[in-house]
Amino acid sequence: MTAGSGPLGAALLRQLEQTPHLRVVTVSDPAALLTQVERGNMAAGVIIPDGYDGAVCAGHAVTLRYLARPDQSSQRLGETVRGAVARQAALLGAARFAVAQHAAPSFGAGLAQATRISPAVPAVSVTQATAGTALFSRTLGQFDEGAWTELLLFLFLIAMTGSVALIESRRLGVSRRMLATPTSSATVIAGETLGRVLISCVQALVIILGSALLFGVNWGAPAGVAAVVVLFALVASGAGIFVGTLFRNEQQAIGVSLLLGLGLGALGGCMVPLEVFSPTMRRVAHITPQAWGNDAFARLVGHGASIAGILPQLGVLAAYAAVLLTLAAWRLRRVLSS
Amino acid sequence: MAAESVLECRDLRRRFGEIVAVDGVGFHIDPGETYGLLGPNGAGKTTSISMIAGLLERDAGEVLVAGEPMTTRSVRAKNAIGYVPQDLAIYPDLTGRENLMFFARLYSMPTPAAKRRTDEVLALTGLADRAGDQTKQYSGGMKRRLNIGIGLLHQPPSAVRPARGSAW
Repeated sequence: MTAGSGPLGAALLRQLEQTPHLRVVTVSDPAALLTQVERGNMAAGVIIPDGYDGAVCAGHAVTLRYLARPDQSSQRLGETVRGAVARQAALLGAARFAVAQHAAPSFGAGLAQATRISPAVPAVSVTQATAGTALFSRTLGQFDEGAWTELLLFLFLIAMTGSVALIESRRLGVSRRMLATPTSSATVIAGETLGRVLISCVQALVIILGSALLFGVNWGAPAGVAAVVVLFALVASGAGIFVGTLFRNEQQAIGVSLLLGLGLGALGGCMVPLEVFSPTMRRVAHITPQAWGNDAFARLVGHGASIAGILPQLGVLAAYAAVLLTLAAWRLRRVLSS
Repeated sequence: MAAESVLECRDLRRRFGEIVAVDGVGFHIDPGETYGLLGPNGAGKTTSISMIAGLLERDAGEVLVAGEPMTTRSVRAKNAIGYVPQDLAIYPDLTGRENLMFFARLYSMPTPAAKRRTDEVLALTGLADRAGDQTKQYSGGMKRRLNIGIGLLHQPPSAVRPARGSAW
């Protein structure tokens, strides 16, 4: 929030700070506050205008601006802010009443009297109980979830269309010629795989750094992110090489790669979040590596998990990678030596 | 005689399902000799050369290259043979020099030796002045010379080249 100077502004700030589960950060510039809220780095913002104290003491109407993103948690925070303002407005009203009734010599004295008496005045309180658990224990930034789902979608899609390079290499006869050299077929296959994994990792690094720097996207624990990216790149590369060994020309491979990349991405929660899937569809979605990647990122970003917290997801991605790379190596060896 | 041969094949056999592609081929080639396999389409020339070059497992028989037994996993035997595919097997987006350096590394040549040998092969094939051009800009003849040059890169004592209708 941005706070106007003066004791009343400071008192309002203190009230908000005392609200449980609410962290208040003071920002000096309203424009900076707007940017932070727009990017999702802050759930909401309150602008207390300069001259707040003077205007209130003079009995003028004052408008506080509340900035919120169009999601439910931000809108709920508005209720908290309105509550704090209402409590202060009640004190101000009491002070004016005291002056009007000649019970206090001045507005300041009346306010001090009202502030002193108010804790002893019985109040109506509302208790709240929460049913169920929150989807994410952390508030996500505006681009956070979109960023990781897009990353998984594009990593898989690009690696799949990389199958074209393998087909070209086979069609040119270069892959077969490599096997006539003393370099083992295992090394050739490892080279084909690692090259693609490296390209995928570089692409992921560019996306992650770019989105973090330009849009303030939070990616979570770096070690966990690196593990997910590397394992997912292995899965995608294995799938790409496998597809590259199944078809004879580039057009077939591109068609199948796009179909698989987009289809598995949609099913795995890269286009519509898994959270909106029905329980049955969510179970079906988990036949795709994308769903496990999404789960891992949801834990890293949405729950602040460390790499230890995503070990089950990493294990499944590693199993996918092992199966796909084994299949790809077996097929590649077969097609090159046939 | 066998000890002097650069290439010796004994009773090579290979079957693809019901089709017998190669049935008991045997010959030997001495140093300095040029040897051609002649036969009609489907006679098994390419299959024989694939087994000789270590690209294809054989069902029976033996291949010795410079005295070393050749299989798909042989290292020393593959180092002793230069394989030139009948179709061009070069990267069109790489330059002539880059193609040679790439295959030199596949023959485990250290970088200085690979660079020196690449220059020698470029000179031998008459491609030195076009070494920095992408091979897709080469004429058909230049591509064929580079294709052969790659097979000679590691200075093998013997070279095999399948061709449509013949091999040497």
